[in-house]
Amino acid sequence: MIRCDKIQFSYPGEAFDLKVDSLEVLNGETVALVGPSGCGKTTLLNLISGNLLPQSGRIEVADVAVPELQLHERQHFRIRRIGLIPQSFDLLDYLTVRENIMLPYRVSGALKMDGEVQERCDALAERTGISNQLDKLPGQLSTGEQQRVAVCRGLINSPELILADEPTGNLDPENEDLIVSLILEEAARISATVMMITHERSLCSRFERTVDVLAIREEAAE
Amino acid sequence: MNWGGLIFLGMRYVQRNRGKVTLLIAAFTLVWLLPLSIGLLVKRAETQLRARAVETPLLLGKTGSALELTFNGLYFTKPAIATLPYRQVEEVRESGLAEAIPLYARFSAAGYRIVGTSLEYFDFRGLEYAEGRPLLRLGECVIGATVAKREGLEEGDSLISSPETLFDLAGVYPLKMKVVGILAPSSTPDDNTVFVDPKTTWIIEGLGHGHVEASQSSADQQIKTDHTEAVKLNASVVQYNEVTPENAASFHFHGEIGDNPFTSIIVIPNDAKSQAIIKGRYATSEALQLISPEEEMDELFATVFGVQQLVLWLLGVVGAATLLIGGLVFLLSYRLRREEFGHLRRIGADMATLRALIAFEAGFVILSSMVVSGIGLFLTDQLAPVLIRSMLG
Repeated sequence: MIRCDKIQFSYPGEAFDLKVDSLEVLNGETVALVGPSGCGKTTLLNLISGNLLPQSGRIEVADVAVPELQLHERQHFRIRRIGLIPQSFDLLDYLTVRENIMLPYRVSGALKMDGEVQERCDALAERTGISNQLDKLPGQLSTGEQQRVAVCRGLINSPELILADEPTGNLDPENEDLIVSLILEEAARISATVMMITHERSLCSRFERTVDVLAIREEAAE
Repeated sequence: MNWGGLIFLGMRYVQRNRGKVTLLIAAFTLVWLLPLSIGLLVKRAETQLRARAVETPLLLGKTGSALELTFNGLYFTKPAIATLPYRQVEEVRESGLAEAIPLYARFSAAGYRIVGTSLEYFDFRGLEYAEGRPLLRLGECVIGATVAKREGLEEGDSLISSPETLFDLAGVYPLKMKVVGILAPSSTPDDNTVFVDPKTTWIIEGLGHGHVEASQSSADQQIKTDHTEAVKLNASVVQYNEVTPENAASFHFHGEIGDNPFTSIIVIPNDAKSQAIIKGRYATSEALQLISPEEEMDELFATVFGVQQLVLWLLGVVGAATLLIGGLVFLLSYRLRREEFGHLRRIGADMATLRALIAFEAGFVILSSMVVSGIGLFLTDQLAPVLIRSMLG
């Protein structure tokens, strides 16, 4: 599903430099990305999703060289085939829970809104336990419920790849476990590949593989 | 570009921030509407006032404010101007230089001006009858189209003049006037006017009246006198407050008719030479003034345009400040929503949709304020005649 080959990335004017010699993730595999703060976990996810472009090297997602696509093609690829789950939920406070979940279908011409999307939204809400909150605004929900909404939004387009940027960072241990379970269960249901950043080593056992970003950087540096 | 999504998200944002958006629309509406409606009103006022002024060659009145005389003679406002005696009408007519149409615009009925004038006035203004007939007898009135419509009056109905003051017990009594004609709409002040014979206005003023014959009065209504055979009546004699075929003959005027008042006289010279001569005659008069309403309007609008320019300049400055503040609000709104737009970009939003979404709030406010301004301008245009009339006092 994901193949990174000799990629190198640095932010303009900053000393930070991310180098990855080789990283491969198989279709349907679940991977926990770990490493200390500032080691480049989020940067790596952004490179894979095409939000950042490497200075050199090759990144392929589902056999598509994402960095080589035109901007609009990258955006269409991302919204069709990748589900992003951020740490800070990024819910729009003026939309209801239902509208937030279906947001990807409102902001791109690449996805078409139809009855199936509505049904998928209802089913996701049912499975994540927020079906009775669909008409509420995000501000009326608890933190755990807000993250569940963000998970539903990341999954609404039935993505082939789920990229979760520390989605449990703001949650208590109980909700943390619940959210990880939700992501992995939903990913299994749609046979999606998962890459999730986490600081909780205890959660890594729930994933098929753990990748230490600091280790792969050191490997590349040698 | 996802047009449906753009409108959905844009409208949702506007809906949830309706307080802020409403204030912005109101502020922007004022920026467009105020200068436009002022310009429209001044233009309409100029057209309306100048048209009537151009149609009126000369106005004769008592020395005083020429502008007030113009307003009284043309638009029947400023009822408190000084009067001139009826004999002035005769003098103009006898000069053979011009036709004279007297106007007595002082009293009112149901809020509409009562104008005492001669039948020539209706021909002069080209007024036509929608129903009924011209004035023939004392106590009759012909009403303008607006008066008839608003008051629901028809031919044969009655209209009562308003007393000048409720506390003037010895003075003017209300006179019940019979509507004998209704004028067709003319879009001029004549639509809002109650026309009567000049003598009827003098009766309203108390210069003439009708009551029982002195010889038929009871003893307690008579003032006893040993000096003459004439019977004098005291204040207990009731005056008629309506002129009917039965009591019409009892109406009479005390004093000289030539002394009875008018507020202005429309003077229509026979030709340019007559106009020059008649203007020369009154040029040296200290008691009277003969004015050209068109020239008065030119002077008035020269002043109005000067003031209008100043007001528009000030509104321009205030408008520019409002637009800048509006721009600042949009900028702050964008800064507050930058994270939201960043997230939408990260999940794969179309750049075109995203840019349109950023501009939606500003576009919505500007477009809405223009629509509201358009409606406001339409209403101003519709209400312009009423507004102009109320401005004239």
